[in-house]
Amino acid sequence: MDLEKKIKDWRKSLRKQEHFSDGFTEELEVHLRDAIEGGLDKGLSPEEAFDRAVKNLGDITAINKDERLAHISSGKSGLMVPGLLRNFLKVNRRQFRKNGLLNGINLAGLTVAFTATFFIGLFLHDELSFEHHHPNAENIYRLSYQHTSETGIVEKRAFSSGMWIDVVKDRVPSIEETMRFMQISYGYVENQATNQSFYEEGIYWSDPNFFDFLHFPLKYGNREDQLSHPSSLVVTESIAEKVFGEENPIGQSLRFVRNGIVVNFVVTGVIFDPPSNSHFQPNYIAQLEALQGIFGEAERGWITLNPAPGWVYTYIKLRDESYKAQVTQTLEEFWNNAIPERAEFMEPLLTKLTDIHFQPPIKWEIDTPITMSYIYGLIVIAAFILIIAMTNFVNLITAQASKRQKEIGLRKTLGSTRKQLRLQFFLESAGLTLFAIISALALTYLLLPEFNGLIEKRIDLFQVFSNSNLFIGFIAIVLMISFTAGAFPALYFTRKVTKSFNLNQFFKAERANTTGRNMLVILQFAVAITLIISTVTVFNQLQLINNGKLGTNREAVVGIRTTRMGDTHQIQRFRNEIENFAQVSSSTLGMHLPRLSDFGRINTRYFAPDLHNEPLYWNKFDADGDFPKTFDLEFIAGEDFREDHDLNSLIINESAARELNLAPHEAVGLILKEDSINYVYGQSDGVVIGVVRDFAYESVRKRVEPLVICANTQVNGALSVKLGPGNKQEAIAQLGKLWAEIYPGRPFEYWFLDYEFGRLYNQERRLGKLIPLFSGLAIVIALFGLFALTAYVSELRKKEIGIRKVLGCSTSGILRLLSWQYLRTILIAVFIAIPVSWWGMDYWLDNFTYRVNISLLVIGGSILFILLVSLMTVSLKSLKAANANPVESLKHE
Amino acid sequence: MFSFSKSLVAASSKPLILGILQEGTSYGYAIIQRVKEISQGKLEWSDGMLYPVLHRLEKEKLITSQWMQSEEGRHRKYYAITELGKQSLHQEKMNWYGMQEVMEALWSINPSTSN
Repeated sequence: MDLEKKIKDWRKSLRKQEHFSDGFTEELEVHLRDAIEGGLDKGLSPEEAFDRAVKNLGDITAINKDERLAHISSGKSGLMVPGLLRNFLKVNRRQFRKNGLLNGINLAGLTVAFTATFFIGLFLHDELSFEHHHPNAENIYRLSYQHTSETGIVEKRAFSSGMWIDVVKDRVPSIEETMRFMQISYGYVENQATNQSFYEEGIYWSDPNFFDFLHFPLKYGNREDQLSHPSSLVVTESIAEKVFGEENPIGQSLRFVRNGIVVNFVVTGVIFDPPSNSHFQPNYIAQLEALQGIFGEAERGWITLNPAPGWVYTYIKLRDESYKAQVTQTLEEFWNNAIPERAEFMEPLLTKLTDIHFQPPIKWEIDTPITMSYIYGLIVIAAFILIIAMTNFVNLITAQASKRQKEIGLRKTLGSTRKQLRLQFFLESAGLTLFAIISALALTYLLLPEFNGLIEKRIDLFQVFSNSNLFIGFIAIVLMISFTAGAFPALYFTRKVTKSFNLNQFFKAERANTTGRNMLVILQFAVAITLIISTVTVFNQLQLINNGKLGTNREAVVGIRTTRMGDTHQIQRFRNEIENFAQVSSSTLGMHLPRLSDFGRINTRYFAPDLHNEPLYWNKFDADGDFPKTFDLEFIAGEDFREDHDLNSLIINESAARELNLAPHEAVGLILKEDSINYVYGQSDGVVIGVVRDFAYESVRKRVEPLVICANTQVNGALSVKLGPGNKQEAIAQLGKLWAEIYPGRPFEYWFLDYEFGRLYNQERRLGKLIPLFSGLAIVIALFGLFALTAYVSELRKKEIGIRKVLGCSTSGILRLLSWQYLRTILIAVFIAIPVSWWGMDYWLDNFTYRVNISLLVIGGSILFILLVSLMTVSLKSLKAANANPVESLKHE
Repeated sequence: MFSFSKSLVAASSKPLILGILQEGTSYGYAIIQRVKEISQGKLEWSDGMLYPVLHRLEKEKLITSQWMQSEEGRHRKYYAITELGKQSLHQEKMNWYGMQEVMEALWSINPSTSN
């Protein structure tokens, strides 16, 4: 007899016993062998010894049962055994496959929501981290001043005089370092090697310590050489690529031409493109000293020796905040001595570098500040999106509870503890959420370039995450969201479902679920409707801003740069020739438009001697006679400049007439004397020949101030050409061709005014893109959820519908039954959303001087929209359920 | 002849096993042999039933186990009593003595019930 074979067979038979672990089987085998040996010692035959040993061992199934009890009856069974985890995964996979649509929607909704939230987060991080990357950023201040006019109007200005810094540095020892620069562009840069030239903006003329003071990582070159010589020039990566191509441009020469004066430079460094979270956005950086060469002999000392404010941006690094008073005091003393006639109207301003981005826009600001209400608005939207998606998630997971009652019952019967059940559902939901987050992260990475393009920023995901605190915070948030998402269904399931399991309880629980779920649907839709109303209102407001920019003409106006083109005859020739072009309807020569926050000369002192002797502090805009025509200004009294207009003719706006307490037609013929203390374009007394309707020529956030349009300009910064209908590109090509004939070798640079004016409203434009995008996403996610929920509930009520149909209910009756349930909840949501959105929008619109009204049409339309869309969503599934043959749903039981 | 009921056997298994392990580390087969030896065959366990009990005691942390090579080279799972097990054994002893006292008290008063 083969004893070993018998033992092997016996061991095989143990495999059927599910509670025998491998260790236990082995232990039993050792026992059997010992027992057989004992038998053999007593003189039994191997066969007898084996049989007795097996018999003594007893009933294997009984042992199996005891073994199971040994593991669970102790009450301290393991929460998680590997087999259980495998089982969870299996069930989870099956569950997912069975309710594929539902779970797919759930997962997609979550992923989209997380992606949207990440993008909002990145945007906010970029906005809120402005300037933080510069060394000692919290100790850097920008030195400028505020000007109070004789009429008491306070105006903050961003620039200073180049001389102040030297004065203050000498007298206040607590200043550690100073840096100043000017931003003077509108010349052209010439690469003689390739014979190419480019009009450039963003040319910084700075003190040599620019790169010590601020953080700009170098791509090529040595830190020490950057601005070591007046001929040194540092360019950004993208400029280097544009001007020199791919190769390293260090050592290449470049010339800057302005007003016929040439300055020669040698490239000494290439910096990476400045990050978008900084208001320093240079394209070229050269020494301030080099700028002296561009100014004429008379202006040479102007930058650093003129005590009156000029176009210099000044930054100081203080040892600590307490020295601020010392700086302002020193400066005031200096003004009192050096410019006593202006000192009383001026007050020093020290703005913390990191605060510049968050204060209301001030005059000649080079930053594009953001209002905190935008930040809050985006946070609210992100929160809304998360709420909607999480609600969906919880809703859909719990909706499946009823279907999983059987599974839970079975698990309980087989000995699952409540803890294990809770763990199962926790792992399921948390796993799903984590998966969604990881997908969202991948999606964010892939879509970031598009997003950057959309909002005109340069956000770098790796740069953001290289900040370890931020990364840890992010991970913490991810874990928190997964945990919350997991915990809710887990608690819900185990509390509602596992207490006891009988049919009566089941239906009671189901009813309670429906109420809870409806509450969540109400929350979701209240949020969605609020978002729609807000989005439409924001959009309307942005439309108002867009249309109010300059006149109301929608035809494209093209600006052509004519700065310092010398001979006015040539420009005149160009103008005369383009008059013949079919598409050109008019053109006007004047200032370069648009300027940063306004145009023309500001605060000119006028007198209206016919009325009174009080000075009028009005804005003056220098233009030529074709300005009103080209920009379609609307005349409400008087007339436009005539072809051969008197140089003393003036046109004023409606606000100016109002300030004089005159009706528009009464203002026509009025004599205005200009009391010019500015030296540039001379004095003029004029006669008002026309009054135009107000147009926003400064930021629309401000009230339109009185304005005088003068037609005697000698400024030729730019030619604005109004194009009629037709192919714009063709017209531009035609203009370019003519340009090349008249100005050979001079770059033809043009821009669409529409777009350029848009730059004045960069933040609004960004938000005009972001808000509709994210609100749209939120609404889609909410509808996704509604769709899945209806699908699920009509599935759940299949039998009920079948029975109703058998008993004679019509299809439309069933449709009404199914739809009404949701429409009712959505109607409740409407009543919550209206006051919330009304209040929220009213608060936001208060930021604007010219604001749209929150129209009833918008609110009504939004509600109608959401009702229609949700009705459609609900019907999509309900209709199928209502049309189904009741036999199908009833036969299988 | 004794005929211990199944439940009595089950109830006694815990003090019995703990008591045997108190004498020293042992393994399944040897424990069975020792039970037979002490009870002089009066206690008839089916060998296999021992193991679930051992596993339960281990789960309750009254005993610990370890796979070890025996002197003759066989790989066996050895069990040893823990501190907690010793305390539990003491408690069991007290319980059994107590039970014995109760029975004795009963039967000495009314001998007619003793047979």
